[in-house]
Parts: sequence; structure tokens; C-alpha cells
Amino acid sequence: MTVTASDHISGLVLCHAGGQRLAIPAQEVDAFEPAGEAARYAGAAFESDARAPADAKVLRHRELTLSVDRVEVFATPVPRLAVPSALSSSWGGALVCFVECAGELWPVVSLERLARGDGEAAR
Amino acid sequence: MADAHGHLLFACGSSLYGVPADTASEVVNVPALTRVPGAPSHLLGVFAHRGEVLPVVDLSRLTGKPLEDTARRAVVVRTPRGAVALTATRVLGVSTLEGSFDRLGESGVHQHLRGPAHAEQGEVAVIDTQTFVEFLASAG
Repeated sequence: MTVTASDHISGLVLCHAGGQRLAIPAQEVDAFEPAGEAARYAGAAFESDARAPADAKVLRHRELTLSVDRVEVFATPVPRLAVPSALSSSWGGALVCFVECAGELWPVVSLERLARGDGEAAR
Repeated sequence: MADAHGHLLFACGSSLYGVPADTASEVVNVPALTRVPGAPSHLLGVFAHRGEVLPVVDLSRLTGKPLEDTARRAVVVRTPRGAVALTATRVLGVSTLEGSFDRLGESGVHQHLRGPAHAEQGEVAVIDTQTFVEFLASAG
């Protein structure tokens, strides 16, 4: 992730998991590939009983893995939108910011936090 | 006792709420929301509005009176601690209130509601917007 002086972000991996949207800074993703091993499912951050589909993709960052339904890379710089104070402590403070990509609002979160399961099943 | 300033009154289900009119910036139709991982159930999601992200707070869930239907509109409240959109099933307009402005409870969200105040339309719980937004931040 590159944050410029104008507060834009360049390089995001847009993920869909359990019908929800998540954006992860590309800098935190070393690789993504078809699921071939057990990995924490990002959809569980929204619904604790959510399960990854058979054709899930696995994101990899160092020793950490996270599975999602599908991914796409978004390279266009976009302005970062601040996290509202009402959400500042939500999900263990893992929310980095929000961005608007392709007409939709995406929460930008840390893969490391998601993969470790911080704040999961809070609902 | 009557308040010196007007309050924007709105309903969420069968309950009436009031916010100081000078903190209510607009009433919006709630668009499709983006959910936030790990957010409490009263926080329905967020949407982008005029270049900022607004959280939508379901007052009915927060006060333990869940609605059968989802509210389609929301009152945007602005405070120095941030802005939130509060779900509304009806917006009744600005009115002067009379009655009590004591805390309605000593814990949870009810310590940020005051009343019972009275308007033509009925009994109103007045939201202490400053402390309410701080409460949401601590409960988020």
C-alpha cells in the first residue's frame, strides 16, 4: 500500500467473502492461489459460522493465510476515507480506512489481523 | 420545563426520539450498506456520503426494540466526535419540547437518552448527541 501526500492508496486486493466486501493492501499479499490447504476464512469475520466454498482462493502473506471467495487486483489510486469514530475500536482497530472502488465502498483491513482472527465473531 | 431550542423529532418503530436541531444536518434515504467486520449488531453498516463514511445506527436494536422492517431513512447527526446516521421510520419535523430532560437510565444507551419529554406527537426520548456518539465509539 502506498499512501501519498494526498492521502491516496495505490494497490488493493479486493476480496469477496460470504457475500461481503473486503479490501486488503496489496503490500500485505505475497500471493493468491486456489485453496489447497486449511486457511482462516475471511467470511467468518462477518458471520462466525461462515464456511469457505470449495473453489475459494487463498491469500498468502509470509506464514499467514486467509481464504476468500474471489479476488481482483485494483491498481488505480483512490482517496482514503477516514474510519468513523463509531467504528474506531471495531474489530480490534484493524480497519485501516475505507475506499470507493468501482462505485462501491470497501473497508480496508489488515490481512495479518484477519488471518489471526482478531475480533472475530463479535456479532 | 420547556427547552429553549428546537429538536428534530423522528420515530423509529413505535418510539419517538429527538435530537437538537442544530446537530441534525440532514435526512437521507439509506442506500445499500457496506458491512464492517466485527461491528456490533446495532451498527448496520456504512455508506459514503459527500466524501465521508457514515455509520448507520439502528436505534431499535440499540434500545432492545427490534423492528420487523428495516427503516429506509436516517437522520444524520453531527458532533465534534463525528457523524452518525440514525435510522428513522418517520421524520416528524422540528418541535419545542416540554417535560423532563433527566437521564432515562444509568447504563448502556439509556444513560444517553433524556426525558420523558413531550411533544404534540407524544412522549419523546431526547438523544444527548455528544455523549451518544462517544458511547457508540466505546461500544464499537
